[in-house]
Amino acid sequence: MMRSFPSITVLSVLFMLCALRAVAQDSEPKITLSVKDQPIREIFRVIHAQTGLNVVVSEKIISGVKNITLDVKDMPVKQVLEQCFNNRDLSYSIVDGTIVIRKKQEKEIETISNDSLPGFVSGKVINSDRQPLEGATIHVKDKNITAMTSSDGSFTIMAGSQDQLIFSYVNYTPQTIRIKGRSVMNVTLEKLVSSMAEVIISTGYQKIEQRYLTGSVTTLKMDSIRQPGLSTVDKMLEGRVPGMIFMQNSGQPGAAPKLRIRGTSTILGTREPLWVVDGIVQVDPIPVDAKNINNLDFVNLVGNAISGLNPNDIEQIDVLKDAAATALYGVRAANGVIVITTKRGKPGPPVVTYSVSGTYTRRPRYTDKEVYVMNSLDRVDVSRELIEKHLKLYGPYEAYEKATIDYYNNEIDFDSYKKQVSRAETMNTDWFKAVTNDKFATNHSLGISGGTQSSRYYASIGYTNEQGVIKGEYNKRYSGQVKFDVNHKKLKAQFGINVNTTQRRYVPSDLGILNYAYGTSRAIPLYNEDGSLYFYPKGQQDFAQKATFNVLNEMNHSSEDVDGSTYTAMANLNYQVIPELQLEAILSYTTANSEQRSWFDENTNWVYSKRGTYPGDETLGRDRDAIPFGGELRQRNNRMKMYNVRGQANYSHFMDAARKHFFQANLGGEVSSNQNSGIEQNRRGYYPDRGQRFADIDPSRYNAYRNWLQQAPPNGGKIRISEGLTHLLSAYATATYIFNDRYIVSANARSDFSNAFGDRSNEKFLPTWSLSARWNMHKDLLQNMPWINNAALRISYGTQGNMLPYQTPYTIIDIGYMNSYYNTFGSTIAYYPNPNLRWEKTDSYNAAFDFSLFNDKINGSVGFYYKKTSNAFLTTKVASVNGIGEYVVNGGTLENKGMELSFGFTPINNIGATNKRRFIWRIDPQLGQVFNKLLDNALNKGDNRVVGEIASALNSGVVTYQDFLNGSVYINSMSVNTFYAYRFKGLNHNTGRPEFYGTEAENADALFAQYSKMPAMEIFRQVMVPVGRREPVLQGGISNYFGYGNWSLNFVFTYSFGNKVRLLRIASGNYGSNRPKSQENLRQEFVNRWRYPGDEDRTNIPAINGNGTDSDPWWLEKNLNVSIGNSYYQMYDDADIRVVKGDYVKLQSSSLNYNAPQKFCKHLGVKAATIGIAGSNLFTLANKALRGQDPSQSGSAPNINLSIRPVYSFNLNVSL
Amino acid sequence: MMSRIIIKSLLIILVLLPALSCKKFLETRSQNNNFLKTAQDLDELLIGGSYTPSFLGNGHTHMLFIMDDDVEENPVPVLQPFQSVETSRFSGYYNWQPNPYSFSDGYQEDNQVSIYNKVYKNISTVNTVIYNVPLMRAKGEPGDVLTRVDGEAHFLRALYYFLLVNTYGKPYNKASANTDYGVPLKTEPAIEPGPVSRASVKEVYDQIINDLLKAEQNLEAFNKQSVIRANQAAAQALLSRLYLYTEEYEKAVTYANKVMAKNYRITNLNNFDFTNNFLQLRSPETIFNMGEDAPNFLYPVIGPCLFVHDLSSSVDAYRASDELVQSFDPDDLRPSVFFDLGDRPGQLYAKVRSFDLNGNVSEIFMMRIAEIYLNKAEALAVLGRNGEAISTLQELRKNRFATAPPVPPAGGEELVKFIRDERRRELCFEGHRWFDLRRYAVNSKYPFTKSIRHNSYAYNAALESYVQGYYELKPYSQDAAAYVVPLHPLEIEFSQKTLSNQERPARPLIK
Repeated sequence: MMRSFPSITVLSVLFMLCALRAVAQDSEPKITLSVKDQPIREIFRVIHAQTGLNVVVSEKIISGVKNITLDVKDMPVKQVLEQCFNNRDLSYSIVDGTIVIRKKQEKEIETISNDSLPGFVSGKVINSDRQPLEGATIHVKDKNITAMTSSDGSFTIMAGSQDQLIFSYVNYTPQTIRIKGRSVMNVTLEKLVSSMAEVIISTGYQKIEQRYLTGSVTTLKMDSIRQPGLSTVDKMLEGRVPGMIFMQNSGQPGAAPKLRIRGTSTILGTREPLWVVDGIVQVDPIPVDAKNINNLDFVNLVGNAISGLNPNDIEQIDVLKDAAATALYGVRAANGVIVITTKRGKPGPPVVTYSVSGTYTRRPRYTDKEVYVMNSLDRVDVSRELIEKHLKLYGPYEAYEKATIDYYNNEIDFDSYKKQVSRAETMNTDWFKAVTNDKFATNHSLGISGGTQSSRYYASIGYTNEQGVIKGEYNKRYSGQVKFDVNHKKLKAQFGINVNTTQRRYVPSDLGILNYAYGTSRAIPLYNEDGSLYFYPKGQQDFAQKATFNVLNEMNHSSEDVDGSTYTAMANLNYQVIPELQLEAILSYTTANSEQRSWFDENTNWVYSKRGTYPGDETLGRDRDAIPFGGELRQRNNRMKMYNVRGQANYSHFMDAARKHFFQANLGGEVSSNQNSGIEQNRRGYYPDRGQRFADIDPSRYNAYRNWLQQAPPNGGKIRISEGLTHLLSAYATATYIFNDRYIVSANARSDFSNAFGDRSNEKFLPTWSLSARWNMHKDLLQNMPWINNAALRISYGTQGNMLPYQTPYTIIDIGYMNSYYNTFGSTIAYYPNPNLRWEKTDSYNAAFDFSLFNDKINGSVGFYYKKTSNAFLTTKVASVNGIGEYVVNGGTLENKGMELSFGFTPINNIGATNKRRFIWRIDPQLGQVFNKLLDNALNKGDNRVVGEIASALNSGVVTYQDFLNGSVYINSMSVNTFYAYRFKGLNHNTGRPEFYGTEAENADALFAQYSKMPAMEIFRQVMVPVGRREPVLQGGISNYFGYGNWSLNFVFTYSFGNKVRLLRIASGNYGSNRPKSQENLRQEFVNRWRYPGDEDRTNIPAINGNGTDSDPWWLEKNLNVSIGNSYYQMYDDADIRVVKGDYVKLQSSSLNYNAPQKFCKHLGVKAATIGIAGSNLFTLANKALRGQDPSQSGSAPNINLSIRPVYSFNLNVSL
Repeated sequence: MMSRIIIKSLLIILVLLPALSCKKFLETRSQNNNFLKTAQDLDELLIGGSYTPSFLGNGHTHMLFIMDDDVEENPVPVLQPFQSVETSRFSGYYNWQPNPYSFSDGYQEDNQVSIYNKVYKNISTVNTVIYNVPLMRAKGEPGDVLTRVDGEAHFLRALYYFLLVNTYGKPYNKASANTDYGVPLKTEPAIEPGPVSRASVKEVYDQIINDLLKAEQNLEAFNKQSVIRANQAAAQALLSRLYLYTEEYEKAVTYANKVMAKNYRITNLNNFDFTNNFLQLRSPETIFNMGEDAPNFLYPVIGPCLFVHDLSSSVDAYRASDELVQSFDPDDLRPSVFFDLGDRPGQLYAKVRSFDLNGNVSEIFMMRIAEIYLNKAEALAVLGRNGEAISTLQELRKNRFATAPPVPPAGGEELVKFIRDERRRELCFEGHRWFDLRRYAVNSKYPFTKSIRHNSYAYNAALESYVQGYYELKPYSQDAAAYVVPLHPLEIEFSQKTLSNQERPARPLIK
C-alpha cells in the first residue's frame, strides 16, 4: 500500500471499494479518529482513508516525528493537521486533493545555507497534452526543500546547481532531473496510463480500484480508443476487449454491430450485451425482438441503445464480463454489461475544447476486387450462348435478347440489329456510379469544462454527420450534454442533462440497391441516347409490363427516414452520514421519441408492381389493383418514458485497531419503470408532392386494396398500436472483506421483481449471486521481488437464473377486438399452460492472473472462463393436434469456455529531460477466445426421433434445408451457429450442371426409395456436411502507440479467426446463372463456365442453364416429402467448395497526430492544439479464396450488404 | 445527534416506501394479454378462437370439393407465347395422388394451413373452454352463461371432429368401426408434447355423439333466434346426420323430426329471384352457419385453384361436372339457380352469386332444413317406411319444381338410390358429396360405389387444349386408401412410430 520513490512517500490510497469519495474532494472534509501513541504515518493514512486526500511527505520528515496521540470527532482536516503539527516544525498545504507536508520555511533556508552554490531555478510543469499542471510538487533530492506549481504550472525553487529535482504530480510518473546549472527548467510529466493501481473501475453500482477488483472487467479510457472516423462507441471496441466478439455485417451509416461477450449462453433470448451509461441501464430506441437481433444476417439500422451518444462525451468504458462483475445487474446482464462513464468537469479555469473532423468515405467500384461481375461484353456473350444453343429465355427481354427477338420478329432490320448489339456490348453502364458516391462529411464537437473544488461543470454540444456511400443516405446526430457537480459539506451531488437527436435517411430496403448494382446487366442503359432516363420493365411476372423501372427514378421517388430524439435528466446525490456510512441516490428520467417513415410515390415501379396484372383495367384490374391511386407511406412512431430511482447505503469500517481487517458492504434497492407506446400504420393513395395528401379510395370498388387494408402491419393496412409498461423492483447487496490489503473476498447478490405479465420470477425467488476472491501476491508471496510491481490472482463463481415471461401454468388469452360478424368481442388463446418449465440457469467460473513487471514496462492479464447454461430454453415442435406448432421446454445444455489474454508492453520509453528527443513506443496485444458448444440437446436424445424435434430459431418449428445451410439448427456437441454445406462432386459431363454427393440424378430411384423412409434431419445429414461456425472463435487486436516529440502515431490491427463464410452467391439469388434473365448480370467467374462437354475437367463453374434441360432436382419431380434443395444452382452456391475461412487481419485504425508547440499556440491565443489524420478500416488481409470479398459479407445473407467502407479523416482539436 | 436520528428515519422510509407500494407497482400488466378469469372470457374465446367466421379462407377446403364426381377441370386458354402452363396446384387432390401436399411445380403445401392444423387449433380452444367451465362455476361465475358456453363448445367440438374424421379417417363402417383408423382424439387442453396416435373411427364418432347430446341438452334455452351461434336445432340436425352415418336410422328420424318441429321452412324456388344468392344467412331454410367463405367460392375456390405463375391471375379452373348438371330433371328449377354459364363451356357454381350485405355464408359449415328432409327420407327408406319416405322427399321437391315433381320409385334400393341422387342435386357444393360417397361405399344395407374419372388436359403447339387422358378413382373396395386424405408428411415425420398413413398407390394417367 505504499509506493516509495527516493525519499518521497506518497501515502496513497486504500479502502475505497465504494470510492466515490476517493474521487471527489471535499472542501472541508472531516475526520473522526482516535489514536494512541501511533506514528504520524498512521494519522495520514486515516486522513487519506476518510477524505480521499493524498498525503505527500518525505520519509525524512516522518522519521523525525514523534508518535502522536489524538482523539477527534468530525473535525475538519485542517484542524486535525494543525493539532498534529502543534509543537512540531511542520507545515502543510492542501492543493488539488493533495496534502503536502514540509518543514517550516525558516529551517529549510537554514539547511540550504550549507550548500556551496545556492540559487533559484524556475520553470513550468506541463503534461503531454501541453496542459499546465497546477499543484505539482518539486522537491530537491536529499534536501528538505519543496515547492508547488501555480495555476499556470510555473514554479520557483531554491536549489544548488548540482542538485537533482524531483517533479511529481498525482497520477503522473515522477521525474528526477539534474539541474546542471540551469536556471530555467520546463518539464513534461507523463500520465500513469498503464499503471493498474491508478485505474478505477466503474460497474455502475460501485467504483472499485483495480487492485481490489475480484471480477473480470476490461477498462478502456476513451482517449485511447477514439477514432474520429467512427460515429458510435460500439464500433471503436473492435479488438479492444478480449473475449468480446465483434461482428459488423453492413457498411451502411448507422448500422449497429453485433457484440457477443463470452459466447452465446442462451438460445431463445437476446445475445447482445446490456449498455449502461452513468449507472443507468439503456434501452434500445425501438424494440427489436430477439429472433431478429440474434440473426447474423439482420442489418440493424434502427440503432442500439447508445447510438445517440457522442463518443466525445465519454470518459471511460468498462466491459463487465464475468458473473462477479455483472451480478448486480441481475438476469439482464446474462450477456455481459458495457458501462460507460461520461465526462465530468475538472476544477480550474474554464477550458474550451473544440474538435472538428472531416471524413472521406469511398464508394464501391467495379474495379474493386470484391465487385467481381461481368462487363457488358461478357454478359452479351452469355446471351449469345443462350440463343445459339436454343435455350429457353426467361423474363422480359433487354439488350441483346431484345434486339435479337425484335430482329427475328422482323421489327428491326439487320443494320439496326447490329447497331443495337454493339451498343449493348459497349454499354458498360456504371451502376455503382449511378447509385453510390464518394462522401465527405464533417463532425464538430464543442465542450467547456471548469469550476472550483466545490462546484464543477462540463458542457458540450456535438454534430456528427455520417454520410453513406449510397446516394442520399446519411446519419446525422445532434447531441448536447450538461453536467454539474457540487460538493457541499457532507453532500456531493451531480446533475446532468443529455439531449440527442438523430436523423437518418436510407434508400428503402425494398429496393435492395446494392443487389441491384451487383446484379443488373451492364448492357442495360441508364439513360436514353437523348439523355432522358431509360425505363424498362422489371420483375418476375411474365405478363406484359409497362416499362416503369429506372433505378434513379426509383431512388428519387422514395425514401426511408428514421428520426429519433432522446432526453435524459439525472441526479446523483451522495451524503456522508457518519464516516462509516454513506447514503447515495441516483434519479434519472428519460424520454425518447422515434419515427420511421418510408414511402414510395406513384411514379415508381415498386408501386406499379403492386397494381396487379392489368392496372387501370376496369373489369379485371379493379379487383387486383392494390394501390389504385398514389403511392404508399409506412409510418412507425415510438415513444418511450423511463425513470429509475436507486437508493444505496455504503458502509465501510476497519474491524480492528491494527487496521488489518477491513469490511465494506453496500445495500441498495432500485425501482425502474419503462413505458413504451408505438403506432404503426401504412397508408396508400399517398401523394408526397401534392401537399402530402391521400386519395380517397373506395375499398368496396377495389378488392385487392380492401384485402390489404385488412392485413396487419408491417405490410398490411391495419393500424397497430402497441403499448408496454415494465416495472422492475430490485434489491441488491454486496459485501467485501479485505485482509491486510492482500486477500479480498467479495459477494454480490441481486433479486428482481417485475410486473411482466406471466413472469414467474415473482412467484419463485431465485437471486442472481456471485462469490469472488483476489490474492494480491505482490504484497505477500512475491513482495521481495522488486521487479514485480503487481501480481494478483482472481477467481469467481456466479449463477444466474432466467425465466421467460408468458410461460405459466395457466392459460393466457389475447384480448381481441369487436367481431363485426358476431357483434361481440372475441379473444384467442395466446399461451397454453406450461406448468413444467424450470429456470434456465447459467453457472460461470472465472480465473485470472494479473501482473505488472519492471516498473510497468510489461503488464498483462491471463484469464480463463467457463460458462455452462443448463436447462436452456428451446422451442420444440409438438403435434398439430395441440393447436400450436411449437412450445418452450427446458431442452439443452450450452457450454462456453475460453481464454483471454491482454498485455501491455512499453519497449521504449524515453520521456527524458528534454522535450525534443523523447520517444515512446507502447504495444498492447489483446486476444480472446470463445469456444461454444451445445453439450446436450435433451430433445435430440433417445430413440432416433431427432426429426422435427429440434425447432430452429428462425422457422416455425420445422427444420428445413435452409436451417442447416444458415446455421440455425442446434445439434449436440456442435457450436451454436454451425452451418452445413452440400458436398460438391463435379460438373455433369453432358450438361455442365453441378452434381452433389448423395443427390446424384442417376441414382434418383434408389435415393428416392432410401430417403422417403428417412426423417428429414437424417437426409440433411447425409447430403450435407458441417463446414464450420459463423461466429469467430478468436478475436483480438494489437494497438501500437509511438510518441516522438510533438508527434504521435497510433495504429490498431484487429484479427479474427475461426469462422467460415460463404462466398457471395454466384449461381443463384441475385444472379440468375440458372435461368439468366436478360436483365441480370452474372459473376465474372462465369466467364470460365462450362460450355461444352469436357469442360468439366478444367472448370468448376457450371454451365448456364444446365444446358437447357430443366434444372429442377429430381426430388421435386418425384414429390419426395422433404425438399433437399431448391435447385442445383442454389445447391452449388451452398456447396462446400463455396465455403472459405473467414479469418482476417485488419488495419482497423491508424492515426497520426501532431501537438502544436507551445509557442505557436500562444501565438494563436490557444492553450493547446492538436491536428491529425486518421483512417478506419483501411485494409484487410483475408483468405485469398475470398477474392476480395469482405469477410463481413456473407453469401448466407439474403441480400448483398454494403461492405465496411474505409473512412479517411482529418481532425483538429483546440482548447482555449 | 438530532440530525442523525432524522437521517436514520429517512433511511428507513426510503427503504420501506417502495416496499409499501410495491404490490401495486408490480401488479402485472399487459396491453392485450390476460389470464382466464370470467365466464365472459370463455364466451370471448368461443368467438375469437372456436367459431371461425373466416375459417379456412383462401381455399384450403378445396380438396373436399375437387375429389368427388361433381367437378371437372376447366381447360385454360393460354394467354401469351412463352408462357408455360402449370397444372393445377391442387392436382394432387384432384387426381388422388399419393402425396397431394407436394405440387407438381415443386411447391410443398405448408402444414400450417391444412384443414387438419386449423381445425385442431380450434379444437384446442374448445377444449380449454370446456375444461374451464366447471372451474368457473366453482368460482361463482354466472351459471346460465356457462351452460350456454358449454353447450356451444360441445357442439363445435362435434362439428370439427366430424369434419376431421371424414377427411382424414376411414368412413364409418358398422362392422369394423371399432378397429378402423380415425383421427387423433384430443379432448383435454394440456399440451401433449409427445407423439400422438389415431383413435378408432368408433371412438371418434362416440365422442362426437356424446358432445352433441351434451350440446342439445345445454342449449335448450339459448340462441333460439340465432343462426350464427350454435343452437339446439343445430345440434339436433347434426345428430340426425351423424345417425345416418352410423346407420342408426330410427334415431336419425327422431332427430330430424325434432328439427322439423321447429320454425324452419323450405324456400319455394317458384317465387325465387334467380339473380339472388340461393344460400343466405337470412333464408328461412338456414339452421346454422359458421363463416362466410362461400362468396369467395365464386373466384377463389372454383376459380384460382389453378395458378399460372402469377398468383393474382386466376381463371375458373373447375366447373360442375356434366354428369351432375345432366342429372337434373328438365322441370327442375334448381340448375338455373345453382349454376351459371362461364366464359368457357360448362356450368359454374352459382349458389352464391355475389357478396351479401346481410351476411355471407360458408361453403362448408352451413346447415339448412333441406338436408334434414333428405336425412329423414333416406333413413325412412332404408327402414322400409317407404310411404313416409316419399312424402318427406316430395315435401322438399315440390318447392324445387315448376310443375308437380315426378314421383320417385316405390321403395327398396331404387328409392334409396333416388333419395341419394336427390341429395346430390340438392346439396351439391355444400361439402356433402365426398363424405356421402364414402358413406354409401360402406353402407351395410345398400352399399353403392362407383368409379370416378377426372380428365387431364394438355396443350398443343397452337396452344389449344385437348384431353390427354384421365385419372380414375376406382370403387372403394379396390381403392380404399384414396378415399382418405393422407396426413401431411410433417405430421407423420413428427410421430413416426405412432402415426401413419395408409399407403396410396401412385395413380397413372390413362390415355
